[in-house]
Amino acid sequence: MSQGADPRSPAHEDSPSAGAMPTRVMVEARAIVKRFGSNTILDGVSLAATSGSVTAIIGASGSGKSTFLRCVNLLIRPDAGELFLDGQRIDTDRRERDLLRYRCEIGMVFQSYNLFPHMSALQNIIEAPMIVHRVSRAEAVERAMGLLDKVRLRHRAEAYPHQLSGGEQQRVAIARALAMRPRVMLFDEVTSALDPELKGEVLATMRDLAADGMTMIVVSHEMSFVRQVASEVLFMSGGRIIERGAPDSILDRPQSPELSAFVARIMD
Amino acid sequence: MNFDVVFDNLDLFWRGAVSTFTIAFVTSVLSVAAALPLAVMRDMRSPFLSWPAAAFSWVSRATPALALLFFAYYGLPGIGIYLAPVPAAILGLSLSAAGYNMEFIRAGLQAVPRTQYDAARALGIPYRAALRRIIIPQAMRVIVPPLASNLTLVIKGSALASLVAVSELTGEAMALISFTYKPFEILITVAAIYLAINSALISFQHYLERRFRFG
Repeated sequence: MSQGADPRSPAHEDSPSAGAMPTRVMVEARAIVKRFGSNTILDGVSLAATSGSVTAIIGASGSGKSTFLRCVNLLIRPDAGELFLDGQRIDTDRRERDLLRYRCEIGMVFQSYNLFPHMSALQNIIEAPMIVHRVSRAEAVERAMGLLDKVRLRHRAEAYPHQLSGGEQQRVAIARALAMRPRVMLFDEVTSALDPELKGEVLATMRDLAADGMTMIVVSHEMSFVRQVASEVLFMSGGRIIERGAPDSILDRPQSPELSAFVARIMD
Repeated sequence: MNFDVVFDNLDLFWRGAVSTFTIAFVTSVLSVAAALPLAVMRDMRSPFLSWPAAAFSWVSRATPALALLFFAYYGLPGIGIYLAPVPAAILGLSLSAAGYNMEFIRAGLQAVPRTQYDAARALGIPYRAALRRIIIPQAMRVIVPPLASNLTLVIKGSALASLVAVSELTGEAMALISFTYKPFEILITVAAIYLAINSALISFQHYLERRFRFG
């Protein structure tokens, strides 16, 4: 896959913030706060994802998981807190236009796929590289076909979103995000809208991606996926991270009453 | 019924039709071109952008086209701007049509789900490119039918231009009636010409509807 060959992806140099960490921290959020009116949605959420790690965020709906993910790529601007990409501090107060380059480095996949309905699968994938990176059409198409291979949808390149199943749409959406050659991928409950038999193909694609060494932050309710793939699990409740740790310890030995209740609810 | 009066005055109908078509065409293009940025501005967060757009929409739709037309021709000289009849007619009619066009375009832009903007932003696509490539093509489905209907009104309303000394189809035809006394034949011909011009527009509407159909 092209991402693996990208010289930016592997840890070829130490970043300033890496410090004593064993591996390079690819993306870091420090004490992110977000309020909507008098509601505090995020109350000081921090996360550090090392290069090639898979961080899973779990929690009940309304706990702030999706809002946090949207703060990481600045689709939502946090009211306080700091963001670092590969050791570089991101000025979150900059104008929208100045944030675009940062966003290109961070791919995002949404629960509702959000493919462009008036474009074929292939057009969906080549659009942003052509506009943002000024890649020639021929090169964009070549790369897109490689990505469609990767998500096993080469034969659907000319299909429009409404002609694709939910699982296929979501895999095209993953390929579309990968086409920007991001350094981090965010997944926002990407299988929640899918029928059970379609979840598997999307999760398989994500597994491949993790195996390729992509740094991933995954909001998910798929506990078996989290258990198998995640390097670290964060449990959120009420806009805070209540517990964090290895998947087995989080899911099997919850410490807090909130996590115990959550685990009990999702396991039945 | 005797259509000799029409055939004897073909050059008059031709000139009138060309004049009507020209005014209607230029007005359509200008009023749509002005309406698009105004529609985008109207829903911007900055009050410096949204207020002028809202004020324009209000004035444009709440004042009679005829008043705007007279203002462009008789009013503007009061501040030293003298427009020839045709440019004055085009200005007045465009100001009147742009307010409606703007609201139709705005409705279309609002009909595109927010998630499409999110997807574009997440990919790092700049706002203007996102509008052009992603939002507007999807909005066209909602925009085209009412916008085209409004432009058929613009074409028919261009007859108002005769009131600021423009020789267009309706005005010329009325003049012809006044000394031939053949209103039936002449007005049927006039109606047929408007029908032909509007049919071209409606065909274009259908073309656009097919072009932007998906899903």
